[in-house]
Amino acid sequence: MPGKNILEMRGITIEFPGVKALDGVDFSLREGEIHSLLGENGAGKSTLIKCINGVNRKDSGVILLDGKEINPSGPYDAMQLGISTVFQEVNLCPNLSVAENIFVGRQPMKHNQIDWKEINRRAEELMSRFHLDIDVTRPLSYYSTAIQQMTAIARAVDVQAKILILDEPTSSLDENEVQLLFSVMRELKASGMGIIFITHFLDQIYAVSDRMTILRNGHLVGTYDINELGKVELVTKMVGKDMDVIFSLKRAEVSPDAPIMLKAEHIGDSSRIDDISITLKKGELIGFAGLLGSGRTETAEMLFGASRAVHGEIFVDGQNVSIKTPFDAIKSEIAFCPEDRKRDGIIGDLSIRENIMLAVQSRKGFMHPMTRQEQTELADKYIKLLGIATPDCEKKAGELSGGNQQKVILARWMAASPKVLILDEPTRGIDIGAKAEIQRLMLEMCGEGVSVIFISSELDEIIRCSNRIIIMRDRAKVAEVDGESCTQQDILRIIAEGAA
Amino acid sequence: MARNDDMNQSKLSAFLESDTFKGLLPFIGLVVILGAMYYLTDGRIMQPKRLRLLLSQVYYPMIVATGVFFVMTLGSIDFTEGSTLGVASIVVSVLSFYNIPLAIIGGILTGAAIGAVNGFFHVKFRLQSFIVTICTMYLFRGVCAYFTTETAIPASAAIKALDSDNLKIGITVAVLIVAFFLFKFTRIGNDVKAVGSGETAAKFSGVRTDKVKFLAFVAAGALTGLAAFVNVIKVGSITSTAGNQLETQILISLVLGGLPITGGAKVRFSNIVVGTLMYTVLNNGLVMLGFESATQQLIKGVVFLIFVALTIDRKALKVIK
Amino acid sequence: MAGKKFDLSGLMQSKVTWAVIAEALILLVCFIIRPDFFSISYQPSTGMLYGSLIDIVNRSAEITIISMGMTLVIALGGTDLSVGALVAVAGAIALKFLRWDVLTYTTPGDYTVYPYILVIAVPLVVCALMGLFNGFLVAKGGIQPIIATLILMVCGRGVAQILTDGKQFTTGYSPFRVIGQGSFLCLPMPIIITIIVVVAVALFTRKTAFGAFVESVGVNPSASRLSGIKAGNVILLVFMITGLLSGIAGLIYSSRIMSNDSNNAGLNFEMDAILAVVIGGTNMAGGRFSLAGTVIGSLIIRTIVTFVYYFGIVAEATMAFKALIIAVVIVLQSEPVRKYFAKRAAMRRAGAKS
Repeated sequence: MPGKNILEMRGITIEFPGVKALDGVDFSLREGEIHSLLGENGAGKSTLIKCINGVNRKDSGVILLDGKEINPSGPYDAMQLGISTVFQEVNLCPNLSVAENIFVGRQPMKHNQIDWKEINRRAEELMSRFHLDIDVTRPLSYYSTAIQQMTAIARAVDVQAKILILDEPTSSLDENEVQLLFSVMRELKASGMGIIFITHFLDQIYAVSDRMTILRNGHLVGTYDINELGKVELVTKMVGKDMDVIFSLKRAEVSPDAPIMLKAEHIGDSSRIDDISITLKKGELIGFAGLLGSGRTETAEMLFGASRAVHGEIFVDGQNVSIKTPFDAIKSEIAFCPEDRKRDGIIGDLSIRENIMLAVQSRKGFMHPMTRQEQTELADKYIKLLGIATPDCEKKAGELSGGNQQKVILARWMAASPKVLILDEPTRGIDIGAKAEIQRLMLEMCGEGVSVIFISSELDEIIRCSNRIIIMRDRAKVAEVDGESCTQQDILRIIAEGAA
Repeated sequence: MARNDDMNQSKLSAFLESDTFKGLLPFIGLVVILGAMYYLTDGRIMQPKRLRLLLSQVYYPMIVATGVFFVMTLGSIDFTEGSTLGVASIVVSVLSFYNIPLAIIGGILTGAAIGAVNGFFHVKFRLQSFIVTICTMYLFRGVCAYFTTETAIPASAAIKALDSDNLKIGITVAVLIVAFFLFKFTRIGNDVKAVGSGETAAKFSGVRTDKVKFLAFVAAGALTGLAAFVNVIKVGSITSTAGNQLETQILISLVLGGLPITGGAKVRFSNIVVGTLMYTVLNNGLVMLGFESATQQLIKGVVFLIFVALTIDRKALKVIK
Repeated sequence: MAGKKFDLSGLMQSKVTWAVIAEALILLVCFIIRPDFFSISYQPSTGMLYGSLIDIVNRSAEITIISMGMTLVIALGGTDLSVGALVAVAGAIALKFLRWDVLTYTTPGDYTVYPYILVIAVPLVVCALMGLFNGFLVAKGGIQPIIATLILMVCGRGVAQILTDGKQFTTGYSPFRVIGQGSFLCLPMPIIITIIVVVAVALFTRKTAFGAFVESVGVNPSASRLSGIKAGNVILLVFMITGLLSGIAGLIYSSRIMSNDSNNAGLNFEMDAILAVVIGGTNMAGGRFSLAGTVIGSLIIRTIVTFVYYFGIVAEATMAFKALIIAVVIVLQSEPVRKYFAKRAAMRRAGAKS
């Protein structure tokens, strides 16, 4: 029994200089519905929602809200109309309190003064509705990403929204937190709110949504009921070609007598990681599984010298090395793609060429520069090898899509020809096509003798690629399992119980 | 056991790194400097006559600092205070021959207009406040110099007759109270802090960032205009050096008061009062101790360095807008 | 054809283009008012070329030299407010060495008390060390550049005064006069020094990978560090270079007046240098920098001042006039204005097509 349409968009076209970001797209949202918006990066999902909330101006087409045409001039205007958005990057002020964040821009007043009591009371009430019992007067940065995300949603919900837009709300949440979010979404839906949900996780779409709309290259592919379309069909429609590749990846072959490439013995600092030991053979790929905050990233950062280990020893190719800074690690031929691509990886204002040559150059030192021609050759080689979508190597790296940025960072490290490559969430927030590409490249490098540490929150890709899997929990290694024979259930059980 | 020590130590260092402690530091600094000066001058700095002199140097910087406080909370910077004070002082002096209230209003409007110019170019043309205000600083310094190089501009006897501590204290306190109220209990304070913490976030939360930024610059200008009035009744005539280096003094005062240069949520209203007092006490104490101006500068620099090293928020290393 | 047109609109969006256009316009106005503005004459008695254009380049030397360093500082996303004070320090030390004990050497004359090499080297070394101090506060102390350099801005002039006991010395030592007033190849010596400095900085940044490292750290310090760049060392070096260049500018300045002036030497140089860099198209937020743009920026500032002197506009208004023209240039370069022009160009192209 479908409800009536609260939002209708017809023939939406948006042009940016040189590209049509959206071309005649229709979209509708019903009352009390969770509607997933799908497509690869650059398909136009973000552009479409930014058109609904007024960040982007449409060049043609109409938007009807409850049958009346609207033209929101910005997020604030849209909010007044009852359209609330939670953006992909949590757009909150980290050093204001949770309560202040919820009410910034619309503080309740009493006798011409901000009514702090009321703010804190209502904030607490809202958060408890999300089953979160926290001190709302603490600064937001005090809490985990999940709670920050919930704060953003609480803020969006409290403005009496008719329509709630969630742009990748789950990308930094763990499984429990996702379930929590879903239950909140279902409650909101039951109260008649229409929710537009964007995510890269296919399982989540099937878990929570009623309908889905697929976009590809700015065109509408179609709108379907959730049980109308299976996963494989869905992926095929999203990327426009068969995606057998992704399911045909093969694990790296490691001969039993392959030499040990990386050995870390009892490394740790007293605060973040207690004591961890790892061995990695030449050409082997090991996966790090575990929840956010389990110590995966911290271990990787310690191996790379991004944070300093207080005790323990590291051997690369049999040599005992002292790694205090990233520079030391690079000298020892260890490479690291950090988790936060924007903050720690890509250097947005510089060209692809410069981004790719950076690690090679920094190992040489600035007094031994590569010529422009060498740089260009290097960059072009990897652009071709990795299939980076760009007209040439002089384009600003920051202008590329997420998947292509990730490939640029990967290229930076491949160019440095490391012995050990550590990849921290290399596939997060990029689309399925690019994900498969990155996994393929990773495995190819193993085939060439590079040893890889692969960190991911998505268990299926860890299981698909790893020879061995190290399971972490509470900042310690709790188990090491064989990649070939284990299942998702095994790993989940170990994570939950804390032992093999 | 060793572990326990570790824990205690980390607790202590956590406290030293905590916001509570950082918030206390400027007060501690003020007390230390006051104590040191009291000791070094054998208590002379606390004599009523001295204290009056000291306070008379606090009024107008504190009024100016109150306005600049809002600009710096945005994470922006304003270099025009000195030249604004100069130009506004000229306007006040000239108008003082006609009508005193008119002179006050004229001063405030002049300041507000200069602030509006800053705000307009900063907001509309998306130019960094740093650059805009360097330009306007030169511009209005030039204007000021043009009118005052040959002869100083006198103010009327009537306006000079107003010079009394009560009036100056009254104005300063009134400004502080109103600003405190606006900052703490209205949307303005929150909006300004939100812009300083994250402009995009604030914008997407419905804060009219452009309007807020514009108004902050206008307010800074208007308050500097009001300070010009206080300045004129004190000095009586305007020379080309009026307000020279005021911008540096205000910047140092606010940083001494604990204001993070990047603005945002960690600013405290007390920064204004503590910082201005600290700067003035230090200044006066050094004069009383009979140091030459060069040595004074050196000592000020060292004190500033020690202070910054202790209080600076190392996590906020972003660029000034 | 289409490619060529696209290039043109790309050029119109570049800030450096606007700077060049601005400089050309100002010179054009000068030429229209006084056609002899461009005339250059040779004076056999001094063996030097004279003329307004020569004068502009000559007088811009200090700012151009300092702004070479400032460009790098700004590319890192910082600012250096201490350069003006360092100019005063350099002059003070040089004059101190030239006239060590003023009571013994009562009259200034063509002599130096300490070896000339020390007169030149010590100020440069001290300024470089002061720059290093700035860099240390920024790189190791984690203090924002604007605040870190404010410290030397405040007490640098005090240091200069203490060094000279608050006195203003004069000298008549002719080898020292050469720095600011001598000539080489018919050109005033400051121009020659400027050319050497500009070329040296350009070679150092562009022929090594140093420039790329500076830009990289300026855009994203964290990612640069994780790519193996020793960001701290880059920052230290950049501030040290800026200190050294301020020292060179200080020697030129004091050689021009053959004296030290702790209060006025280098006054507002930090502001002029920052403006030169920004007019030259380097963004205050850090990242890409353009040394050529900075040179043009510095020339624009000086051309305006010369223009004002040359045409007898009231001297007091110089500053205001300078600010006005610079403001116009900066507004023309601003993002909204450039976007507006880009849009109009696109519309014209679209119009031409249909």
